[in-house]
Amino acid sequence: MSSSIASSSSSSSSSSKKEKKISLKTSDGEVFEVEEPVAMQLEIVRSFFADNEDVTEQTVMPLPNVSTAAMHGILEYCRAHEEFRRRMPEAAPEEEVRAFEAGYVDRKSNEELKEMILAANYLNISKLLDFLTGVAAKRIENKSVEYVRAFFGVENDFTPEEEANLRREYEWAFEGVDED
Amino acid sequence: MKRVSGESGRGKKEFLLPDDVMIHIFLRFPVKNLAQFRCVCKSWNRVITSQPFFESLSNQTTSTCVLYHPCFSHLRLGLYSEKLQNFLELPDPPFGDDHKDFGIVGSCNGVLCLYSNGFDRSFIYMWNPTVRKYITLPKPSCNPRYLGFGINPKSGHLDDFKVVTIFANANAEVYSLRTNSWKSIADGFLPSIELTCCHLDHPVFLNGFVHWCAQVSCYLDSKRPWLIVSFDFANEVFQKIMLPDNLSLDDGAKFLNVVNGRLCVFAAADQKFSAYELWVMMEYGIVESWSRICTIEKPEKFWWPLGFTTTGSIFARGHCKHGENTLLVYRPDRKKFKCLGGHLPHLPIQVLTFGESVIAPVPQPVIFGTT
Repeated sequence: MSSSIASSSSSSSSSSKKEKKISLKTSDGEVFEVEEPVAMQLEIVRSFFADNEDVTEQTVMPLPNVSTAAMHGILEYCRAHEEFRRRMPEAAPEEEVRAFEAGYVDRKSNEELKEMILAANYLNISKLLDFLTGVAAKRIENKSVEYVRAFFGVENDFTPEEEANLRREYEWAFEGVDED
Repeated sequence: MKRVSGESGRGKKEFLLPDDVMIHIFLRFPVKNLAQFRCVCKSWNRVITSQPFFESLSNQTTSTCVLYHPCFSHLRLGLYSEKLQNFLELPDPPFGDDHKDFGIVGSCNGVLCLYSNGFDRSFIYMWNPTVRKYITLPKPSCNPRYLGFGINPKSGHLDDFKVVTIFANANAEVYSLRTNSWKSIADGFLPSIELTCCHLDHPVFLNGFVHWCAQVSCYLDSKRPWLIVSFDFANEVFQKIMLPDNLSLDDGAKFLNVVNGRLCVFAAADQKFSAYELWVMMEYGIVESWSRICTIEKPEKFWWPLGFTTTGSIFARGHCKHGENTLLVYRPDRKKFKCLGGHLPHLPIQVLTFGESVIAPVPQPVIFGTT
């Protein structure tokens, strides 16, 4: 089974240099063929291929905790970063990276953001996780407790007395909270 | 852009982010926001008040040094910023109107322990200046002669604060915040040992023990050898930590401190207080591991070591061209003293490490997650 030429490379046309691809299957069954250097940014994929000798290029790695939607977002980020790296291997063009990241995250709703955080955490892409958790933190900065609960979909399980006590305890912390 | 709003997304899938991801997010916020987040739900409250979270938080918020000096009988506390090379003043303590003169017993998990520094030392307070919470301790049975502050590391509770006091008659009592009461220590203080608590030598908390420099009483040994006495907050007993002979039998002044999580002693190398040997106990409790690291010298005039900055520079008070009694910082890599400016009154000054926390010194915490 090891004598393969190129795996299911029918989808890509620019295979003049026969770029190696890795197949990743999302929770809803879609298979993504990802350029190797991009896929290797996903630590879980990198270690899967590094630790398992019997995997071949045809191996489709299942990623049961990542939805197709999240995968699109993840790959967009990783491809952009791979592109930056390829163009400027020494030092990333900081301004361009920042401009890309700002535009990239602007288009994401809170739900999409959370889904991607979950995926980045599972795939163990520390750079992306750092970036996304930073964005989430920005979005709840100076917001009320109610807003934060809604943002994260967290249910308030305190009794009214418990919550009132805690709020009284930390009254000073609620100065200068923005209106929702 | 309506999307970026707090809509709960009814009908959509709800994602609950796991605790380790939430910790990533929490760590980006100052203590004030963390206090708000405690009110979100029980699991957040538990995570934010848990030991692992506290440890990550203290690792990243480089704990700053507190400097203290009562200036015209007015307490001043400041956090030293190494970057700005100046002090950020802390608010005045919200207690002790009748006795403005405080001493600091210690600093632990973001909580400071203060006492009334005068004839009557029995007004004792625990105070978290970040969350603005304090407690006035009940009075011990006698006027304290020595005090020590720390936590019991074995209980797993970050607010299991304790204060130990030693009286002039060598009896001792320990206060526990959990019970909000004092109890007598059956065996009392160690016999024939004298603590040497001059104003520069505050007790040092490390590894669940509080430490003092001490000397064997002259009635027992005319050479009065130096040693370190510790109080174990978990088992509530006093213990001795011996010093190597060339350190213990040298009669120069000794100042105890902590550097990089290790107990250390500044030993005056001459009678003029112009040079000190820095000794470090490399392995806690192992007498053989005491090592002489370096000698720090300031040729012209006397100086006293006060403590370390977060990057390992040394705070000192001493002479410089601006005056006799100023605050100095010594950088070991440059072997140079630098004046921070500001003349110091001839009153106690203390340097401690301090890291902000949400931990409130409350006897029965409202809801406190650690188990």
